[in-house]
Amino acid sequence: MNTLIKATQKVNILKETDIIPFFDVLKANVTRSNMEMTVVFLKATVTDPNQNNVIEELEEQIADFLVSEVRNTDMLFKLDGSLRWGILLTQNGEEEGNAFLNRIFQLVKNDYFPSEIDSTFTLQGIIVAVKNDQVTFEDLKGKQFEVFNELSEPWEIEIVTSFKAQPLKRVKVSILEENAIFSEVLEMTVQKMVIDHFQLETKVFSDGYEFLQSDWYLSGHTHLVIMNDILPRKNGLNVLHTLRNMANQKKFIIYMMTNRKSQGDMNYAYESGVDEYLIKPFDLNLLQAQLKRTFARL
Amino acid sequence: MIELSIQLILYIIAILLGFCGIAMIYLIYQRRYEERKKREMEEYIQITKVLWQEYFLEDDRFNVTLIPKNKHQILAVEHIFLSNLRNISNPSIQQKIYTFAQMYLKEYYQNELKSRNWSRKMNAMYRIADFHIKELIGICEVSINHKHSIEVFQVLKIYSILEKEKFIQELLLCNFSFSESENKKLFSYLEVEMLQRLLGKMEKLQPAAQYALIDTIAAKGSMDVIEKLEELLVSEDIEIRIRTLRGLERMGVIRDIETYIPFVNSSIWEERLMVAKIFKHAPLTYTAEHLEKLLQDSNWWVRSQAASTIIEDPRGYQRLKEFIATTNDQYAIDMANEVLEKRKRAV
Repeated sequence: MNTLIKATQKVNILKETDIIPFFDVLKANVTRSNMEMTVVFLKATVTDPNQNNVIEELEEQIADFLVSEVRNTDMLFKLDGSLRWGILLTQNGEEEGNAFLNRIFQLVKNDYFPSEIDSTFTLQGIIVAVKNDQVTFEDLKGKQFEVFNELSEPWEIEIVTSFKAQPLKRVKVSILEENAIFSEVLEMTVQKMVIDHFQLETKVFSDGYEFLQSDWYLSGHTHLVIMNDILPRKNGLNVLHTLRNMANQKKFIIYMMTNRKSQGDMNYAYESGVDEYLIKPFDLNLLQAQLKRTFARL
Repeated sequence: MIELSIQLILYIIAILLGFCGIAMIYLIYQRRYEERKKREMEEYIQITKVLWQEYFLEDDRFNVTLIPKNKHQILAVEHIFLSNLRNISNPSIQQKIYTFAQMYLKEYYQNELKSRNWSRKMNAMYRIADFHIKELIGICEVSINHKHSIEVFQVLKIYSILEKEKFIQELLLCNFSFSESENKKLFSYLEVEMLQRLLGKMEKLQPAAQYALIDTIAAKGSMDVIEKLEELLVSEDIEIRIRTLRGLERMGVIRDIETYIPFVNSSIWEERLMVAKIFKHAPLTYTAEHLEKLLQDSNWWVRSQAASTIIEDPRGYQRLKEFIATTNDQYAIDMANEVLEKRKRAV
């Protein structure tokens, strides 16, 4: 095990009580900022649990090893009870958590163990993706206790999905198009889309002035704007500049529709803050595919 | 002093009031007609918009209610069709529009083509092109005044959309000189293969058509045309050479850098400018020497482009710094410094 530990400064790892405030803050960001968060629980098992002095030394060695393997963005903490730890992966999902655990297990399985350490210690892991802000740390702790009691095989990894339920996120969709028939077609195209975890609310405006006079765009919701570059009053580029100069402009996802195909116009639009550029006439299926991709990134 | 009897003045006033009255009645009548037209169009659209969506998006959902029964409803159908054609790209919807137009609107346009009212005739021709009503091409040909350039242009446009072989024949025989943008509009409907054929007959085209052809074929971006375009670089027409260089630059492919090096020493500044732009698409190791020469050009635009091309290369920054240290040309140094400063600020 000594050979596994990279040269690293000895760090006092966090206790359970220390991690709770961090968990609560990061949990709030999961829904507000669409961040991912996963908690990985690790349990080491020895053949003779009565060898207390061995367990203490093993705990210290495993802790040092984990400290050397976690990244700066992860938070390692010690759970109450012996030989149990948790790692908060602050920007990763379930797949990354699984990859992390498998890597740890491989490192441990492939190395040479000093003879004074019980060589039959094994690890087990639980991966819990957190996707809503309703779950508490106590819920997670209770779950890991329950699942570890059920795990019987060494090196087993259990993925817990109880806390993955995402709240339905409200997204506003604004369509700025002068042609009434086409704007209805666009509205219908957007409304027909079914996107998991998102609730779309659409509104149609005939020009940029009408849009900016309303207060529809002022809330903090993620806001998709599909607009034409040429509009009767306040054209698309004016609206684009207004939206991108707002303090919370990151909430806007802007699709610009146009008849113009010149490279210069496209470059200018992207540099001004357009996310997607649609040259008319365009395929509505393509629009739907682009919208789905946009929502998948959210 | 002019003497006018009161009676005469009263007669004049009465006549003028009469004219005003007639004009007002005419305007009121026209206004009411327009309002009625708008109302009937909106009514038709409201009643049929869901049916049109079903017809366009689902098979076997044709409804006889869609068939327009009067002129205003036909105008409403035109509005629906044009909204779809101009905004949505969907071959199935397009085909349904063309089929519907040929079955239910052809007769209307046939009558419109015979109208003595010029605008009605021209509107019919525009819609024949938009809705691809092939059966009316023959009637278009006999209806137009062959001395009227706008009508001839519209017929050529119909050919370029619906009868491309005939378009090439008629274009080569055409006596009218259309503008470059008009020619571009005509060529935009042709595939690359047809454009290449036209390129082979370029000497028979008017100059504006030649320039439009080069721009259009380059904009289509097909790799097949590069060789043919490069052949135009030796043309005696300066404008053709410049347009070809511009077109090749837009395509972004250099097959052989030796083709372009002679333009570095051209007496035409536009050619030197274009070659400075083209060199963006080759590694700086092959072009640096020529770009540095262009950076010392007498023309500001050429110097500016040369500097911009150098700085776009990953090694360009360093190269410019070395150039500043070794050259005596103050104008070149100023331009290089300006570009370096812009890059620093951007980073």
